Amino acid sequence: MFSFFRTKAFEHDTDEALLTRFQQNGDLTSLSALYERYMPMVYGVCLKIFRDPVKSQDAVMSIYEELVRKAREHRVESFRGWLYVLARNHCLMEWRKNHRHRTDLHPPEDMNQFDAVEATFDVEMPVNAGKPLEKCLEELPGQQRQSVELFYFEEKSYKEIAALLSQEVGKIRSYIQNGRRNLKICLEKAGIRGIVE
Amino acid sequence: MNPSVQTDDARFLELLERWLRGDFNRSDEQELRTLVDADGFRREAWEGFIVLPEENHELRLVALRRHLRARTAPKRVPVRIWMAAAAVFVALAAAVYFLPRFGPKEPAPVARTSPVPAEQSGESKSAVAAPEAGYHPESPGSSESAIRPSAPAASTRAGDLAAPEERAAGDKPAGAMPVSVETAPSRMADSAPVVAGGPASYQQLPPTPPTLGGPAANMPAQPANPADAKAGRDANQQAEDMPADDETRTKKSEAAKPVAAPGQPAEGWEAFFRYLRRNARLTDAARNNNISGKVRLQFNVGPGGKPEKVQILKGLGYGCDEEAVRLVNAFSWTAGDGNPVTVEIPFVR
Repeated sequence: MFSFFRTKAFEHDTDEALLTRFQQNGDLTSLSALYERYMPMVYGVCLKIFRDPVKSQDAVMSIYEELVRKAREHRVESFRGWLYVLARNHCLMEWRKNHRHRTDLHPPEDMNQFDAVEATFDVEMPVNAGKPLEKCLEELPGQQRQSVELFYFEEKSYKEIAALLSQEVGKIRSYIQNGRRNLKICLEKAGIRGIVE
Repeated sequence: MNPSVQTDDARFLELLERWLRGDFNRSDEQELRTLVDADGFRREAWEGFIVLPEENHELRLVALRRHLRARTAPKRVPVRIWMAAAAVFVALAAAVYFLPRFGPKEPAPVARTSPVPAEQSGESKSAVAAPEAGYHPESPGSSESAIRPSAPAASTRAGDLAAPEERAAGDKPAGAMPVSVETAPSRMADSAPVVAGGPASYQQLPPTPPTLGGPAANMPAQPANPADAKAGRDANQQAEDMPADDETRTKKSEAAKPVAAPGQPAEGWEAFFRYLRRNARLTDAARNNNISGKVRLQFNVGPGGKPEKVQILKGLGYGCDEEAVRLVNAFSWTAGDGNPVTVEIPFVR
């Protein structure tokens, strides 16, 4: 199966081996193979900060340029952690540059709230969740509710749900994410904070 | 790096890919969640993806990957072009370096008539300069010392000369012995363009006929007989590997008595050294075997200005000795006084 995430070249080399090869020979192929390994994750980090796929895509490339420049001189102990910090800082700098005079927008750090939603929701979806859950489910818009129910109660995959509802997979992903968020907010309103917690 | 982190990352990316494709169910989500909770980098990445769940991130990532490879690839193409350019350059340099070694053998006579021929100055500078640079440091001192008009006793010289002749005769196969005498003139005629051709082509030289015609006159006129000519050609094949100086040694039998002026280069020593610098080239065999040095020759100059009784006092082998004899033979000399002339022919890289 075609996989756009996994890189076959240099598959067995460790990060540090590839990085050393780049530092010693200036071999860009090894550095780009290394970066390709983490590219989806870097892209995800950028997405979280920019909330914009186009900007994130650009940022991923400029982070690579920055990496080429910095990886030459910096002694890197753990490439993975270093890259994470590099990517995050790069995106935050970009973001602040563009939002200097617009204070109404949330800074990216506020997104921790978002994490909270994700984290709590995950564990609290037992089938016998009880009344508040059912009530909240009923409050969800039709498509969201259908998707969430199919995914969590009938354990269907996104594709199956997409086929059942004759929708695109992207839509289903969206329904489920938004459904969960709405559900969470609803449950919190009802005074329930993580049923299982 | 921690290997478990690496495998977890791989699993995370696999699940993320399935999430994007839609081949993703609840148990996958639970596994993904555990992986995401375990690591900050993964968590932020995941949070980024679920900000925009509808978006087709797959396409973005494919495009990114293409960009990244395009960004890296152009670096490789120029390297290949550079390699090709380097190969072409090396080939050119080799051509320039090796060509002059075949060239000068023909231009050699030209170099003598006109001091600086245009085609020689057009030669690769490195090839010409190298022998000069190698020669110059020693030439002032050795120009005097190299030429030692030594006068050893005639008897010892005769003994010296007789021995090589016997050796040369012994080298030849027994069957060739009877014909070898007849062969000499025909061989002479064969090799004339190479060995004797040089001096013969100079008008300003002292007349060469005596030396050229000498052996021929000694021998009965055998080319008239076709059968003999054939036999001569057979022997010629066998005699070919005989060094060229054997031929000059055969000539010593007709005792050339010194005439007037002592043996000297017709145009002076400087001209001779210049001539050597331009024309003394290592043979391929010597070059391949990392040989270089000097060949010391001793000879008398006959009445016609032609070197005779050429002896190799110190040889290099690998064809250099023969080449040295050829060079000396190809130069014109003033008629000698019977005292032998000693010269050193430098063969430098």
